[in-house]
Amino acid sequence: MHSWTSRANLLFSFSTSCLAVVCLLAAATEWWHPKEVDAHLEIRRVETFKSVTKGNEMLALNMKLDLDTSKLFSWNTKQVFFWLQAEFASGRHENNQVTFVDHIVRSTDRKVFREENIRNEYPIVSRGRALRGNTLNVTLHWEALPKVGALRVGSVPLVRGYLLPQHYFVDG
Amino acid sequence: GAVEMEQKRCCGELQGPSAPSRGRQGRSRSALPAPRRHGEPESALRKLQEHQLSTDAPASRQPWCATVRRRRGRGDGRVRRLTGGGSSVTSWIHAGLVATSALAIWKAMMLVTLCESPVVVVLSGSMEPGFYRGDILFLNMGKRKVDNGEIVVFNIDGRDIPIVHRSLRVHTERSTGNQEILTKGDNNYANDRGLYKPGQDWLQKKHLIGRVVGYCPYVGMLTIIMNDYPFLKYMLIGILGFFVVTSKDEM
Repeated sequence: MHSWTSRANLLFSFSTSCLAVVCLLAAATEWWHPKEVDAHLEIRRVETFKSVTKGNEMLALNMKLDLDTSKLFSWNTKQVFFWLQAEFASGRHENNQVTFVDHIVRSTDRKVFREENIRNEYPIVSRGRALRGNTLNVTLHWEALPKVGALRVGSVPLVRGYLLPQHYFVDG
Repeated sequence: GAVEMEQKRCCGELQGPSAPSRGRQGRSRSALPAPRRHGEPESALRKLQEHQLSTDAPASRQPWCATVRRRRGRGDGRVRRLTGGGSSVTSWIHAGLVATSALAIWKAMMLVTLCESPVVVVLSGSMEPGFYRGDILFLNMGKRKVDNGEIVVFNIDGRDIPIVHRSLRVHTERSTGNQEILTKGDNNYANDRGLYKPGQDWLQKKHLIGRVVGYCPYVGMLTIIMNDYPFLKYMLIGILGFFVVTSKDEM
């Protein structure tokens, strides 16, 4: 009972148990932190709309975005991952969700954004001819990564029913 | 209980509250009185008396009570336990219980989360600054459809190590409900088509092991160290086995 090995064993097991309890408590504090985002998006225009290989279609947009993310951060938040997602339905697919802009905001970065000209980081590509004349919804999704604990996700619908053009064009 | 009553009867005096026979063990080693053997009562009792005098057990002067007293310390002078060599059998059983309960917890987590591996360790830096090498992730598969932007762990045919990346595009078919998923690591420039099997453009749900629901930093470093230096793994198991075998403490 008093050998150094049993002392070391007891110390190790007790400290790991304590650490585990502290982690659980820290993770549990997220329950009391409501997370909200203020966001406003306006699609200025469609920049590129064309047909690409394998019979798919590609879309590029130009947007204006106001975003305030400060309420998402708690003491246990390490970073928040944002993405703008285009959603549309087509004949063959009941739901298509395509990320076209994403951004990581760490807890030390600035949290309020006001972007006048955002372009796609990734192209909005459909499976098959699904975009011509279709309507598009754009939502902002966020995922808060804690320092320890459960990941939390949420979304804010920004644009509903944006009508896409009938014809392809490229407008630099 | 039963043995103390015997003592009171044969010794004719009450034991003090500090009943030394209780000791640390709390369980009697010799619950039954040892039978006297013909032809050698004197020497054995004398040996027992000497042994008792060397300990600090009071009121042990009446020799014929001594055979039914429980003794403090390790083993009786007279009654030897049949399982010699300390409590090694008990410690082996205890070690086995710990190992099998850990396995049972793992299997229960597998059932609840419907994942073949409910806890994974991040090996690469392709999801920085969120996940660093050595962090552990808790996974849950579930039956609901994959949403875009979920962090998923998936297997690629021909690669033995699963990959943790975020889904970039999800297309859900109307007729079958099948989903086509394209992924990309947060820290990578390009999407994962270069990582998939040649000719494979999309992932299906069958490729996924699970989605990430929880996160704990640094804990997986031990797994990575043991992976990189396998001799540490064997040394750790050897040390644990050594402690199991040589442990003399009652667990």
